[in-house]
Amino acid sequence: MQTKPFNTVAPAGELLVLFFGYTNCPDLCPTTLADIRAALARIGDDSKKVSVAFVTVDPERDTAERMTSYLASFVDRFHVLRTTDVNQLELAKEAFLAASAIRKNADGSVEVSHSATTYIIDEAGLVIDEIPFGVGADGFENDLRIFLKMIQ
Amino acid sequence: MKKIKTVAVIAIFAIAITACSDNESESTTDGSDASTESVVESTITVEGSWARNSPMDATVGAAYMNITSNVDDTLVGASVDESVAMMTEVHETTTQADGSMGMQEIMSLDLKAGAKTELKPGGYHIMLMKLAKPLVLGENISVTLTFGSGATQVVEVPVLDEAP
Repeated sequence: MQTKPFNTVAPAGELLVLFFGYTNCPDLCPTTLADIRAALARIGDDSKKVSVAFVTVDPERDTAERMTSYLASFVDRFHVLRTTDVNQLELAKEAFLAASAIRKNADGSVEVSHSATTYIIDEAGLVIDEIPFGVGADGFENDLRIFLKMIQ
Repeated sequence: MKKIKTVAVIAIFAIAITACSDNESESTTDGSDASTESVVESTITVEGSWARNSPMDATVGAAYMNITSNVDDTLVGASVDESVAMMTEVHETTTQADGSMGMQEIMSLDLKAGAKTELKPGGYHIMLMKLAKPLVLGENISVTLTFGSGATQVVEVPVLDEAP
């Protein structure tokens, strides 16, 4: 596994689908990733022009290995992005107007909240689409097809 | 056709009245209160249930379902056997002012009489915490629901990778 700085830019002729989340997420993250998986399956061959970037908002509990295993359950082409530098994570969130917060309770439980919007980024590094949570595989398929056609 | 139907209805009605009278007289004879309260039996229907299969060796999971009660009631808890998960809570996913989404445990979920209350992705869900082992596609887990009325119901929830 290579570890290196990552620019949130899609390779030429491709789309980068970026999402903020954490692997202990029971509802929002698995749902979004499963929807993306289903959408890519429906798109077929063109899905080779799509890669997913998952940025963890919980770097303390989400190790690179854990994130890699998690993403691999959903998609083939992905990047797991993790930084323990609080400032760097804040900058990343700000760039996408995303937000997240972690609250540790007295009983040891951890509550995490995060923006559940998915961002589609092009080869220029521009966010060309923001997909709100809950659109389902249909919503992802719809938008991905439109933008894949647009970049041809 | 119509005529026969009408006759049949009246006949049944007549029998019912007779039966009621008998009961009433029974209670009167016993000296107990003749006015009996009519109690509507609570029926809770759960359908469309599913739990998402775990990505890798996840430690948390979520189960979803639609619950309809014929009388006003509340969902106050859920539980699974220890062989599935150590802790189970009913949660609600909410959106904060800054646009981020999180979830919180809710102690009581209203079930309005006759209305379908949906537990679905992005909304209410049953959170399974400290999973004993990952939820595997194809298996079934038993979830016991507890209601404010005191009723409980065991639901066999299939593990799927998308809503049924």
